[in-house]
Amino acid sequence: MQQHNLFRDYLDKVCEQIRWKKAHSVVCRELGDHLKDEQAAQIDAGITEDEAANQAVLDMGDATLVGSQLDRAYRPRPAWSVIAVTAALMIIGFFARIYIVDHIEIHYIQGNNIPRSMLWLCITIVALVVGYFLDYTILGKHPLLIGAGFAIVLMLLPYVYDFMTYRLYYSNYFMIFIPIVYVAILWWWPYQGYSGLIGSYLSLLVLVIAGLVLRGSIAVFVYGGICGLMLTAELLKGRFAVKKPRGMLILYSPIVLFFLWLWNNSSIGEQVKIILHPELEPLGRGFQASQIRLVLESARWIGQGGHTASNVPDLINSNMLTFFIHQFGWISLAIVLLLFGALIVFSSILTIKQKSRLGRMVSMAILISLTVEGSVKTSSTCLPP
Amino acid sequence: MEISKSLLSGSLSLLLLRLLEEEDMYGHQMIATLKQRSDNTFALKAGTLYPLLHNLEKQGAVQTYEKKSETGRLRIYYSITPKGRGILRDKKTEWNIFTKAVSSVLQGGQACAAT
Repeated sequence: MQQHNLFRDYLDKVCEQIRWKKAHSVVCRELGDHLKDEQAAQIDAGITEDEAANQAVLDMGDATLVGSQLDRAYRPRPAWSVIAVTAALMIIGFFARIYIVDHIEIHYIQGNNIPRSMLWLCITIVALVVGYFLDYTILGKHPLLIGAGFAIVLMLLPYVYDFMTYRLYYSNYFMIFIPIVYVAILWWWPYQGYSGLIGSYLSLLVLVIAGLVLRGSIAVFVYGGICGLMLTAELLKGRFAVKKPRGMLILYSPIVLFFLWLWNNSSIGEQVKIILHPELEPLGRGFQASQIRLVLESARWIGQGGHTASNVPDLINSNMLTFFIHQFGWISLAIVLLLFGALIVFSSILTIKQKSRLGRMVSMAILISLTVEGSVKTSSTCLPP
Repeated sequence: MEISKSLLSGSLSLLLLRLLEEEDMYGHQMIATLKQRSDNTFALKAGTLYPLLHNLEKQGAVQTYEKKSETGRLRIYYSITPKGRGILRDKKTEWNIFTKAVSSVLQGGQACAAT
């Protein structure tokens, strides 16, 4: 028992130094075997069992030193190139905003404050680096805490935000976390069969309802839809051990019924109708899409278009691409689509290469969010109905 | 006489790959074989061996598998890969050039002059 504790203490000290936790089991197993071998060899040499155990530990070398050497062997190399490219894209976006402000008369610009934008750019780059080095396995360790905590925060935020400007604008950023939080829940979800499938479906509904309390907008359905795709992928992989067609029916029939009801009865259905037919309210909710349409109708393949873009709202943020199509022609859209496509392909390859299941799920949630978000933004600014 | 650590560190991976070229081994076996063949000159600590082996594995020079040893215990064995054989070949050549050059300097340039 004493030897067991001696070995255990030594192995714990070694593993404390290794940051990559997945290596712990391999290292413990191998070093543990070595300690037993060495102890047996010492006993053969004629000393007592306890003395042999002590000698075996001494022969291993300093636990902290061994651990830090193994840590170096397992330390993943940071993909600085990926971080640098992402940061470069943010900086390009920042200069693109300055260019737009310089080249067009804009009546109303939200956040057109260069020093403040620079500060936010720096904060965002730092957040990017911190986010890159964050240990995503925390999602797998505290899934319930993260899921419940996030739902409560979403529900409480409107009351905090009531006193703040841009409440609706900034609350969108919280929606982005819905797929990641749902991954934590889905990864942990221990139940199988139809009850398991329905349970994980209901937990998604809790997140969507919490999102609706914060902001009853289409963004909630977009991110809820991304979670739905993750759940579908898990169902198709056989995670719940149910018949797949029946599982799909359970998943999608309520969604279809809900959207049919929504289309006919609520303001969201009206919003969707206006998005599809902006000419119904050209000076109201359809104003933005109508203005974008006017700019794009006069755009050329290469070179500046005929109609002014200064009436398009939010030109330096959401509708930046409309401005560039107007200023440089459709060629700018082709370049952006090419770059975006390359980013998605590259990210998909990295996602497929992920060895851990949780890592793959997290990557997939981010990748689908990026693809959907990028596609929706691009289509709304350059392909209005 | 105990060999200085700095002298040994550069050649350890060469020695380990050479051992694995002959047969697949587990960690403790490598330390014992190295000690025995070098007349107790290379008394390697496990803390030095395993980080080195794990680095070699990361480079693709060796690979691991589990097998029951003679005592019946399931152990992690190391085997050399084709890439590892290539590294071993390069390291041997490098080592020969190095030792020849060192000998030459120590003997006042005679060894190199003779070749």
